[in-house]
Amino acid sequence: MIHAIDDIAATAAGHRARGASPVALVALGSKARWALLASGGIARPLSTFPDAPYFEAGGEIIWVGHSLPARHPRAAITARPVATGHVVTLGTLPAVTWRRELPPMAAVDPKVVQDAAGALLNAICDLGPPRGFGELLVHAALDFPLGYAEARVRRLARAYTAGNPESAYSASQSLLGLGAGLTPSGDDLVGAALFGRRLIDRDEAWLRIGGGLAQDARSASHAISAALLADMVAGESFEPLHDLADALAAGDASAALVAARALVHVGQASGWDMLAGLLLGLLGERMVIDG
Amino acid sequence: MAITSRLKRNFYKDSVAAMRIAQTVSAAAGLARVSLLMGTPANKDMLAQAGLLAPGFADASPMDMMIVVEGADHAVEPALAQIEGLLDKQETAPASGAVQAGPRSLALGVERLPGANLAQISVPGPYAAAEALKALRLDLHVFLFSDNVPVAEERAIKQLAARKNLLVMGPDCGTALIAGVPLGFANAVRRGSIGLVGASGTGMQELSCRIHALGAGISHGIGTGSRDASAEIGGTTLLQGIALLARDPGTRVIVIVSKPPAPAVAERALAAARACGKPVVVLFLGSKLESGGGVYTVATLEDAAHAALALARGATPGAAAPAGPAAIGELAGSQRYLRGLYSGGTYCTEALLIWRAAGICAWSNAPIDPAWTLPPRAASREHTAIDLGADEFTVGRPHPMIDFDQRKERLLQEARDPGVAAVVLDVVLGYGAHADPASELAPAVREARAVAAREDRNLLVLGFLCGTEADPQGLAGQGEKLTAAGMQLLPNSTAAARFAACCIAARR
Repeated sequence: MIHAIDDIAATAAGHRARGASPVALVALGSKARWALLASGGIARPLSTFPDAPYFEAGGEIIWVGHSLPARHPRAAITARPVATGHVVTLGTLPAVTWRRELPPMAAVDPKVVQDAAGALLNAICDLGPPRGFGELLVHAALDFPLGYAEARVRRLARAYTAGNPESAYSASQSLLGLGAGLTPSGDDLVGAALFGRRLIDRDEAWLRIGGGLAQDARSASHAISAALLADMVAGESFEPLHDLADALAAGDASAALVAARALVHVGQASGWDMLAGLLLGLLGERMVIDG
Repeated sequence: MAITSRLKRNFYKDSVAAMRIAQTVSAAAGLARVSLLMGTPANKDMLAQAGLLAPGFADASPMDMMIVVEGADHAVEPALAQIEGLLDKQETAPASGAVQAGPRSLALGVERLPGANLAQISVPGPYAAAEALKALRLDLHVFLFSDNVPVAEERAIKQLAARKNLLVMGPDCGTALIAGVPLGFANAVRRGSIGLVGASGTGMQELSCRIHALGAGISHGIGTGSRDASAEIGGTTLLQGIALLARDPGTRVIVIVSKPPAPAVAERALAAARACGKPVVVLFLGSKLESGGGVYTVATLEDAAHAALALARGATPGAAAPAGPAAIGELAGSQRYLRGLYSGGTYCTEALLIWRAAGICAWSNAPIDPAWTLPPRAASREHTAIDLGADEFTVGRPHPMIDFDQRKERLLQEARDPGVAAVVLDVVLGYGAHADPASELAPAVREARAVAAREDRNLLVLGFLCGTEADPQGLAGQGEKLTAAGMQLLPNSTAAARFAACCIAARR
């Protein structure tokens, strides 16, 4: 009989799915909280990607699941895995929600940030082999199809160097929806560049083009990526990106390296794309030429 | 060079999985390029520039996946077929770890997974027994996480299971470790020769972690459910568990852990233990039993772990070495009381027993003596130990191993009480527990000590970790965070309760 118990080991993992009881939450982002409050704790699969871990709640796209690589305002992190493709009922919402903001401008010295970003660029090899647009940071050739877009990235970098939001807007448009993955590399790069610029420059013109690009991404990319890009434009994103921004604002090169190391592990290439975008937004052409 | 392509409409694949497929397939001889891209205008533009834009991609949308394979004539079609096969396969085993839509019934599940012999059931109590019956009819053992199952239904499913030589672990079964596979709340411990059977989820977790820390391992951990050892149920699963472990060639020592069973059940369990032919360590918390006939009775979780280890090594169990001294520090004159804020009921009971043995009578919502019952959700008074996993705290809320809000609030409440000398907390790691409990608790520990310090009091926040380094949360990192916040970490639950008692004894 005990051999029957031994056999359980081989099959138990396949039987961990549970019934329809509410799924307990262990952490909740601020946007996910509002979305779930509006939906009464119900998250529905997206009609376009029913098998994705992204769900609709209260008119917002949120991520629901057990194994998000990093915290995010749209994340509802559950105590156990949830089945995709089905309506999910979430349990009591935690009283504390996760939210990060960029440091206030009064606490940011752009030169300190850019010096720290330059130091990070010099240490980029410590982060391991880059992927996506991260290849630009080590002067490597970009993989297909990104290689065809290198000129567009350089145009974008020039626009940031010149501090020209209008040029940055048109160069960014050409990158939206570009690349593999659910969040195409181009979206991650463009969003993080604006996130980085917002760290050191809150000029209305940059905010305006950010709003325009978030709108454009709805047709140039797909709804999930457009939502995440809109968050970055508004200065909200994955926790390691905020950690990195905070470290750069503090001029703390070693903390920046730690945060960057965490960032590049987000997604297949998304983390690297965001790192490249952030450095582009802060350093402009230095990211691709002098790095 | 040939090019072949396929468009999959409304098709999601996470980046990691898509990239793995592309890498796997492109490694084959004769292939120049394999691309899996969403049908965004920018990607179509890139494909057009590369001369790879198939006519069928013209109306692709960002919700569609474009698959392109470029290579030798003979290689492209097989590669495309391989990609489609891998995409379909990944549908049922996603790289991201998310669970895909599962079967909608146990019967369909068995069909999908031939050879399955266990069903894990977690549905609302009123439906749980019906699901368990379905599982038993399919010849499946049952791990029944659900609670609030009527007693009569529990008795019925257990009787049926026993007739079919199947196990029903539960209802209200939080923990099991079957041949190394954790079910419910459990820890990553090594396999070994010590088998556990018990009605106590946290007790089994604590024991498995202690045994792991002592260098031994667990053969199987069979949970019985919280009510199995009652007179109404009669210890059906407990007795089955003893028998199973007795016959298991991989189990050398059996440990039984439970709150005190009904007298008749205790008698039957002890008789089964004496007759099973293997050494059995028995921890019926709060019961006074005699050792003998291959049965070794102990009073604490720590003693149970040490006794099991000694027996597994062919030695005679002795008393566990007491934990080393820790610094108590200067306490203010008003600080006279202990407060225990436990997420595990067994920890709470063990602390109450240890404190009582030290002459410290404590109030509790789960008292060993009804005279010391603290009304539901009442504030602490004098010495108090609270089981925050009790129903009164968990109705409509996640278990305190997952949701720390109530414990954090209560910790601050205790900190404001000038009479409190020490607060004891358990921190449970492992599968099912909070992903980072130390980060949740540390700020509250820091604040609690600061609240007391502002009134010139040194509040002792004592704690212990139930976990192993192999647990998802990592033992050392969790300990470091808590220690940095000012928690004094003790090696285990028993040591923490004893140390707390010593703090008060030192005041007398």
